[in-house]
Amino acid sequence: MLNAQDNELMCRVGPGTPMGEVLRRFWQPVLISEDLPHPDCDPKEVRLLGEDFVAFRDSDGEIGFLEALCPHRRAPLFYGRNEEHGLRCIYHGWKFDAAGACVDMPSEPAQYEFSKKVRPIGFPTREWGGIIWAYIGPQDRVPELPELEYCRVPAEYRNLVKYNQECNFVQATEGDIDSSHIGFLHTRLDQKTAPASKEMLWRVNDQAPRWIIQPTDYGIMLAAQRNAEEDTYYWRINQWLMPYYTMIAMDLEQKRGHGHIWVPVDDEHTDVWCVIWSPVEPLTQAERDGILGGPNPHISSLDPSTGKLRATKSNHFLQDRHVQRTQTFTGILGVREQDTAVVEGMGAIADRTKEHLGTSDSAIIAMRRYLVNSAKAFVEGREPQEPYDGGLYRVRAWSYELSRNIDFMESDKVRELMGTMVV
Amino acid sequence: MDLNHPLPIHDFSPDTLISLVERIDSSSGFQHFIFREAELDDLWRQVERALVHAQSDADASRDVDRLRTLLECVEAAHDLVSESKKEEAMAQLQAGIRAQA
Ligand code: FES
Ligand SMILES: [Fe+2]
Repeated sequence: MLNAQDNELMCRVGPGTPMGEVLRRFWQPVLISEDLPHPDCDPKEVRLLGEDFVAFRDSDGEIGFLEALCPHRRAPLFYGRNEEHGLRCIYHGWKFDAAGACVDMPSEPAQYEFSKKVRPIGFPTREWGGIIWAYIGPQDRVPELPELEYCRVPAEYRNLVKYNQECNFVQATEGDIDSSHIGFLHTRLDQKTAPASKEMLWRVNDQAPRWIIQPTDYGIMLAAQRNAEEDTYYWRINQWLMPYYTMIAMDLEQKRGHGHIWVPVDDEHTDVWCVIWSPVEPLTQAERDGILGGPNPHISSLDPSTGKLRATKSNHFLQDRHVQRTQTFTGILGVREQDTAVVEGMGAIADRTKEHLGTSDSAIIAMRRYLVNSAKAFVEGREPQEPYDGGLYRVRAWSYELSRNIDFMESDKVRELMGTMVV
Repeated sequence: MDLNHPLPIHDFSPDTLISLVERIDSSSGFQHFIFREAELDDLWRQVERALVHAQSDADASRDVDRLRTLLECVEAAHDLVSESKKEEAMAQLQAGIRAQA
């Protein structure tokens, strides 16, 4: 349960709102590098935190991230011509370089040099880890990029895909730290009788894990302890990192990572980034193909032309009631479709005054409280600290079978697993 | 008393409320208050269920006012705990205990 006031404070992301201002202190992942595939390619429209922008790659490959509307008479720059180191407005030809400076104003007499007097309309950008980042916060406090493991591995080790979801970013994020849904929403009906792996068997045999929920400098660390063998526990560690990154426990060999980024488009839409990576080796083509296709896809219905899922609320996420009776818990194909059906179904912004939380929802309570506290601190004049230390993001989510004798909070092995293997 | 885990709540008896007051009293720091908030969420839904039942059942209707007061106290305590205001939160739960007597 969250009172209506705190819910508003936590969910509103537009300019001038406390949460919106906290979010603006961070670098924002806005596009996958391939969305702007080559110099002078077509520009892209980007909506971010309730504001509209246009992104383009200039003749040198530099990224420009500009206000969406031309400062002259407010024509959309998206229709502009991307030519010779700048984006030229199609209305009267004003041209802007990648930094957003007006470099040409053919419709005005040259002697007035009006172009020099126009306020630049660009924002800082970076291209790193296969991601195009933009920073739209106060220009005197540009933060550090989060040093996430998947950004630091070679491109062949990583797969990025994103889609747009029709709900607020907080409830979208909550799905990843709602640990108890894993045993239901994403399960096959035969999981109990034919567990696919030893981890699966441990999960099936111990459905009431013991939780450690630990606030950290970056957000929240969640550790689940399950009985494995007689003298061992099966540990799964997940993280939520400010303001919208989640990391899901790797496999027992720590060879495949899985994370999400939940970027608020506006109060009622979220860009969901799904990242799969390996810290040690290139992903295979079969793995990449299995993300969007195959019998158990991560996303089953992505429409690349719209960036949305074909499975939607209006077609009931293509739920197959026969499959639900005979094969899977939901009858909905695709892990993301299953989560999306649930979180979009809550309404654009979930009414958290009507929930009935219990002690098993402690992780969600912790994340909300961290967000609400950040927004309240901001209102009282205290800036968030996380954006200015990219090294905080060098953590990893892992799973491991450990002796029952170790003290989790003190163990060197745990410390080693928690840190990243990639330098 | 293990304050780093939530205590599962099964009822809203005075004993349960007293133990929650004690747990709040011993708590400090973000992590403790997360679990105290979770306990109060759990308590809230128990009281709310009883209130809904009382409102629909003629035999239980005399309990409606008492339960409504208790629910308000629990809700207030929940929000106060979430702001780490433990004295005020404990006072609300104690008011809830008195309202039931
Ligand atoms: S509106 Fe863009 S040049 Fe006139
Ligand atoms: Fe999920």
